[in-house]
Amino acid sequence: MLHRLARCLVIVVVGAGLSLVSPVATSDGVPEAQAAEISAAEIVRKADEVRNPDESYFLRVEVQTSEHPDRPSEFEVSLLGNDKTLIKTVKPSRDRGRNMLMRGTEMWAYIPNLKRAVRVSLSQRLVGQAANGDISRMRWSGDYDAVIESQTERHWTLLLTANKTGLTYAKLRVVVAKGTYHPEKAEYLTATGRLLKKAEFAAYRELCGRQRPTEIRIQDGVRPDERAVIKVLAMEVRKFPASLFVPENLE
Amino acid sequence: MVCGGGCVASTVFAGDWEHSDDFELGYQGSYVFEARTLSRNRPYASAAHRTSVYSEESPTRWRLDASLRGWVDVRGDLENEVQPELDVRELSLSRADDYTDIRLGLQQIAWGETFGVPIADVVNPRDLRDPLFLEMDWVRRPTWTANVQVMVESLRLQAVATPLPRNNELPERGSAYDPFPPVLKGVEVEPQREFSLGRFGRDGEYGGRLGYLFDFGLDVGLLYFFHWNRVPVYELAMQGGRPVVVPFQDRIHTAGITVSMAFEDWVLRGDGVMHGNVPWMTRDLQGTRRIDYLQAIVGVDRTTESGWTLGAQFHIDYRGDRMLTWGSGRIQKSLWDGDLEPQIFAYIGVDNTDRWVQPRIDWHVLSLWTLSVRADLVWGTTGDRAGDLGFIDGRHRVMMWTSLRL
Repeated sequence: MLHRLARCLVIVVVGAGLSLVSPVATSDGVPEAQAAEISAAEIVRKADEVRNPDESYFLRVEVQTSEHPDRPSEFEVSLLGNDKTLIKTVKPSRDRGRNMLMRGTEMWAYIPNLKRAVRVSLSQRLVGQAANGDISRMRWSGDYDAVIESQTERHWTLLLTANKTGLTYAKLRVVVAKGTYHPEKAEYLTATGRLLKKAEFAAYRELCGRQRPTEIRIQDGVRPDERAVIKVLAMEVRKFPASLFVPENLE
Repeated sequence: MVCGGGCVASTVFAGDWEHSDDFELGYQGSYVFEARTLSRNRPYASAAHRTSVYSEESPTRWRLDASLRGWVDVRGDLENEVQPELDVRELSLSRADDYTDIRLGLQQIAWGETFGVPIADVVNPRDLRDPLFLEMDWVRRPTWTANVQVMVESLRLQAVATPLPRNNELPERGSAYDPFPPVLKGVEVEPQREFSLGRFGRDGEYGGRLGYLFDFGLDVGLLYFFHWNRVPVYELAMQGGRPVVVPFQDRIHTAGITVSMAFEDWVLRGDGVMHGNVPWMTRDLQGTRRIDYLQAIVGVDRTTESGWTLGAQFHIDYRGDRMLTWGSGRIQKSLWDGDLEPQIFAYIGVDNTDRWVQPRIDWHVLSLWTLSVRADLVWGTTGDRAGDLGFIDGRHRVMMWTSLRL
């Protein structure tokens, strides 16, 4: 049986150039449909579709930090809907089993020596500059209210404000490409607007039938030398039982 | 180093099957200063395997878990007795869909939110041969249990039945943590009752838990478990003209509540359990009395952006006619991007003489290799202001644990 993950990997490797969802573009690369008004919420929803192939999917990601570029961490991420995420640590070996579950804005970590899940705060760091929320919270729709701050011929700049407490970031400023709805850059801000981190969504490649960013390059807002790169190694649409996403079953 | 090589770890995807394996080799050594001996001298190996089967069309999953740990302990405190053990830690089959998760077989079930003293963790018996070692994956004794969970949105219901229970493993007579006072040296202690297959179900333990995660972040669990008093009450009896210490075991009802809530960097935790009509040991071992035994722990911890973890807990025990309270705290700092984790844990009696301080440092030397060194400094008395640590007063120790994960 051909595994869907294998299919995704094949698509990535071969780099099939046929984009299934490319909008019709004008001569300057901006689709005609863009001329019509589009709401900020709709832009965010379409940008989410770029990063998320389905309601339920699987990711394998590598996180490389500037402190230890030679020692990348690797995680398997299972996402169900907008608010359920399971992160399993694959590398380094010493951390294998230190898995995390996120339901809504609540988070649990599995402690292997205790063999149980313990409640943790969402702001705990995964590794280096990568917070748990950077991987587990792949959708902005639903979590944030958006307004269009500014726009150019090619980009919208959106300001997203959290509509619930407990999120890793209170505000985001996101740059989305017109036409493709590719998120390109983001600034992660505190509620008062102080810059926490910058992120760049890069290395767009064909993944699960669409051009998607396979790298999120994160830079500390205060210490620019501190960086992390989240690389998507594999992506697969998969069905997960909802009962997998409860703290009692985190292990 | 203990690893002999030839170890493999992998997660392989193949069709609708998912396999994962985990291997660990290590050594635990514990030196008790007062007795000038090794209370733990244990090279060990463990292996775990998981196979998951899932369908492309439905979210239903089947899973097989198997885990085994083996060691040889050459105990200096028991005249260099060699104790080889092979411990099946898990052998279970489970089926999960959107609303149910049914797991049958040898397993551990963890309840509770707080740290240090696992008062709500009542489903599995424990290995208490080293009472200062609280790594629950080593302490919990797995049981053959049916574990059925039903989840509907934020509501979780769990029913647990163990038809053939196990006892706690208690410190050996003459060991560094022998709980019997010196006056009973040489007095025979009868073993605990064995739960035989012939009484399958009739000696069973059962109960359940109801959990609900409120929208505003409060996670509440209500639990009930009907189980044996796994630390037996001992009575002094005369058999054939000589004194014998006889264990008294009975089943008791335990009901409790667990809570947790996170606020930004802070997490509040609490556990409370009530053991009803518990057999309780008298000081002179003459007969057994019954008490209602209430235990509660509330605590708060905070993890900062700069890698500090700070935790504090308040413990209350109400034992029939006596109340005891303790405070505990933990400070941990993550250094070198998590490679070095020094921490200190303290457990101090408020109205009693218990004192337990545990400085510890974990060093992740390599990706695969971890070295951990800790000390346990314990004080207590057996008089009127006694807490729980009087029986190991002054038995300070240092422990080294090194492990290689593959």
